[in-house]
Amino acid sequence: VLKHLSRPIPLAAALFLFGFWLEAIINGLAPALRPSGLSWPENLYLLAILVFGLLILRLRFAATPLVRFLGGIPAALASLLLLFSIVLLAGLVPQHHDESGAFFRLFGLNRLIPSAPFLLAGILFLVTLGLATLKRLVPWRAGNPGFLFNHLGLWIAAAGLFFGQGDLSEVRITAREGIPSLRAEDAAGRSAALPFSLRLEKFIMEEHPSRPALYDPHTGRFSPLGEDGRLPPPGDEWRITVIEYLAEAVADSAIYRSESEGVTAPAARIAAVNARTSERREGWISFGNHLVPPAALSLGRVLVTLEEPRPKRFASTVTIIPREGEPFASLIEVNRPVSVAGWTLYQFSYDRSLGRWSPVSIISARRDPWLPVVYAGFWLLVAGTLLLLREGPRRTRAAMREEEAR
Amino acid sequence: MIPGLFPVFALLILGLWLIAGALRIREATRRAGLVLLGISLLLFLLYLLRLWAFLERPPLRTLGETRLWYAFFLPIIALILDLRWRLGWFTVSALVMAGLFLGYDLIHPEAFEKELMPALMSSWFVPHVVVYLAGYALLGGATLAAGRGLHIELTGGASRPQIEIADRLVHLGYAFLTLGLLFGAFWAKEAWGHYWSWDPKETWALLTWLVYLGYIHYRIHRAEARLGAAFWLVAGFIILLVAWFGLSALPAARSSVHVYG
Repeated sequence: VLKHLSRPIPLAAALFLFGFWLEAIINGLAPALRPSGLSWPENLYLLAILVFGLLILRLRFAATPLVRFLGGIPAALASLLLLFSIVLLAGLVPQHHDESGAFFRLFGLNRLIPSAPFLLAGILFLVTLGLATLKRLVPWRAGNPGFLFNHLGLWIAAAGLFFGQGDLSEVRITAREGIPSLRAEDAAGRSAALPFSLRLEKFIMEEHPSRPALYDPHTGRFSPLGEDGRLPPPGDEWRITVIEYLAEAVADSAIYRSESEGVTAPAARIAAVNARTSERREGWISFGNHLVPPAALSLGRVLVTLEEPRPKRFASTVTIIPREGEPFASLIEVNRPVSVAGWTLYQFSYDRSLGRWSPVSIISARRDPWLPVVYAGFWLLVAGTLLLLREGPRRTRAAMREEEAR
Repeated sequence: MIPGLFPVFALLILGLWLIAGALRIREATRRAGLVLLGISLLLFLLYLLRLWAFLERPPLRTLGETRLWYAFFLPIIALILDLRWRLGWFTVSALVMAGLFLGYDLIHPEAFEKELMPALMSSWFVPHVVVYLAGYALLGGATLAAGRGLHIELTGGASRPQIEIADRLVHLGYAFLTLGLLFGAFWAKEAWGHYWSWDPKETWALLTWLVYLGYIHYRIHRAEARLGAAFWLVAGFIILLVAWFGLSALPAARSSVHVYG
């Protein structure tokens, strides 16, 4: 493989070394110069300069050896190899890990994205892919639509990602039941203004039914029952059957009873039978919560209780009050975000110590003005991929060879 | 997996594959072998549907369940290729590979969980995972073809037909990988608020995608370099396997939201 890549490898290696050399200089001498995301409108200017530059190269210098090389497959391989190497490092070295050694910190290996070598890889990627796309676009020709969609789609998505990163915003709104939340905070704890306020009507958390489990008080670990109701070791001589399960219960002296109002917790009355001695014990168990006391059934050396209920659904019913326009009711749910005034609202968290009784819901609000650009690229890529499947390998490769020869 | 039923099912399928493979090796009984393989795959499909109904959710959540789908898809690919191009070596090696995945699930049965966490309750869940596993199976097939090609090249033969088959499978596998990656991005946007967050699983999925994208360009760049192509595919499949199973062992991936029990 090595000797077949006599041009791509040296180019990728040179940029790789240069990138890390640059990164070490920046980190060693002037950490303030570390590249951060470009933001509006500088990113737009730079993107315009890139597009303009690529067009000039295509229109005026297409025949020069450098431009021919950069728009060809060897340069594409160099760019993929460089990107692969840096992403591989990011996949092996723990990222955003502050306890990394001095060597890792000097070369920025614990935060590769973004870093000087990553930016170089991104630029090489956009230049080579951009020139390959322009070969197909200018002058305009019919034919090879798969090639066009895949290359153009990937370029648009990559450019949107690369230049749009700095315009991403994420803030969190801590909404309390009944109180309009005007404030939001970003990751650094700075307060941020939003063009709307939000009032939490109710935080909704549904739970799966809890199952009996062996509880080890020394490790705090729960081990669920086997299929046949047998406890895992060291309780494996006991078989458990659930006599009665109450999804919503409160404690009433030594027992639990169903209750439809107020704070409840799942509880169960179980029977345990010892397979060896035929001894039988019965009792109430519950994981409990901040108001309902927990209960366990003691079986000699082991304890049986209900597992902590696992979440089934998180949602918040809210009223959104835009700065302009009428307030409206809405439901924000995991996997079902809500958009308002350029922001998208996601169910993010809640007060975990109170679980489903949390009067607080934490909503993440995101703004990504470049999303339509990136998605346009993604959908072109989906279309290109479907064309790839339709055209089949033979015609796809013929198209690639044809474009390469231009 | 359905307790009790799974070992019976897995042993039945493995037995059928053993007989189908043995019949397939001999040209005289090729047809019988392929018919038996077809029957075993129908049974497999019935089991998957039964499992789906039993779990009351798509059986695509745990690594063991994904192995099951892989063991289902790979022999389908072999059956199609064999019907079209008479590739006995491919069918047999695909059955061995699928048998290993199924056998692994048999030896390490996992506790079944009916519950899905809220983040997985999305219409993207099934397309994202199924498309990925079909891609993985196609690329596994490409690796088998490359392995065969590598063996032929290293023993002095010419592996043109094997690499030709590998190329076709990579082409399809790459397309599925791209769709899986994009569906994952669309889903991530809905579930977590951003389509790409450099989660370790995403990082390794990107690496896998880059390997095969590079391979397709390399094949145009050096069409005659069959040995290089075979090496590339074998190395690429290692990256794919790390992305699929290796994350829980990687120090860089401890915090991944994609590490499954």
